[in-house]
Amino acid sequence: MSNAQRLMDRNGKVHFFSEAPLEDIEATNKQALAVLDLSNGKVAVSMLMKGFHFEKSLMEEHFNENYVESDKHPKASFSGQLEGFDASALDNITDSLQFPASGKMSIHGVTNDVETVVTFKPEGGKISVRTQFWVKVDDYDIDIPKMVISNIAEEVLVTAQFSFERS
Amino acid sequence: MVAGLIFIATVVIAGVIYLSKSPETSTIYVPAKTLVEHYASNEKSADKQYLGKTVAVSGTVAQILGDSPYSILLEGGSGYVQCEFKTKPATEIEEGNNLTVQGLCTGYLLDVILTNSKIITDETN
Repeated sequence: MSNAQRLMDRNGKVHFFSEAPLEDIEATNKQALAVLDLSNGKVAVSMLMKGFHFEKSLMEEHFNENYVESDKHPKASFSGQLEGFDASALDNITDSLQFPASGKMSIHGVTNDVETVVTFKPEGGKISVRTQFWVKVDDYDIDIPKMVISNIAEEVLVTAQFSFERS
Repeated sequence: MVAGLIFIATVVIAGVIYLSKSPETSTIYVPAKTLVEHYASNEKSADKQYLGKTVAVSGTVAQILGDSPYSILLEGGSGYVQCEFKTKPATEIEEGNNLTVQGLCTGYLLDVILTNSKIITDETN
């Protein structure tokens, strides 16, 4: 398969946010890898857990060592399919376009079926792609110690944003 | 007597600080090609050696990826080392420059990935 049939972004941004009673928790990873196969609408996204940076380094340490155990499970990934995807729609894109996506997401060594909606939008000479969904930490066996549980909401809002060069 | 105790205490504390810090703070020097080959051939073993560690990677700039965040690819033979910088380096970097970039190794996707990078030596001039 030639490169022209695939769009790729090595600097995808994945952000998560959780409102908590004492302190909101948020972190960003700016090195997520996304590949979109234009011939069939298949999508693969992967990122490294140690690439999530928090404002407070102590929180980052807790996230890596206690919650996602990033030495044992260094990556998170999504592999799935954009439904009804038609690459030609991207050729003359002037407004935003949406496709439902479904697939498998793996975090902390646990894989679940997920669904989301992905929005494509022209931005400068590029195509910006964005999606947002909720993740329940329990679904991924992320065990939060009782000592800090009041500090952590059970769901986090994940926003992923990619930018593809038009081929 | 008191001075002696203070001296011993200082040596012990300094020793403890040194021992507790040395595994995390020591930097692993590695050429980009060696790092990429190790990850490409055995990711698990490479993770054991480099994941979460500070590495200083030397190599040739293959591509400037972009400005937000500022990131570059270092040539690594069968693949690349992607370095994300905290702030854009003061020296203008161009493709073909030979650099040593220090950063935190977060693992391997398509490239070996460094975050919080900075240039420690450059041969741009």
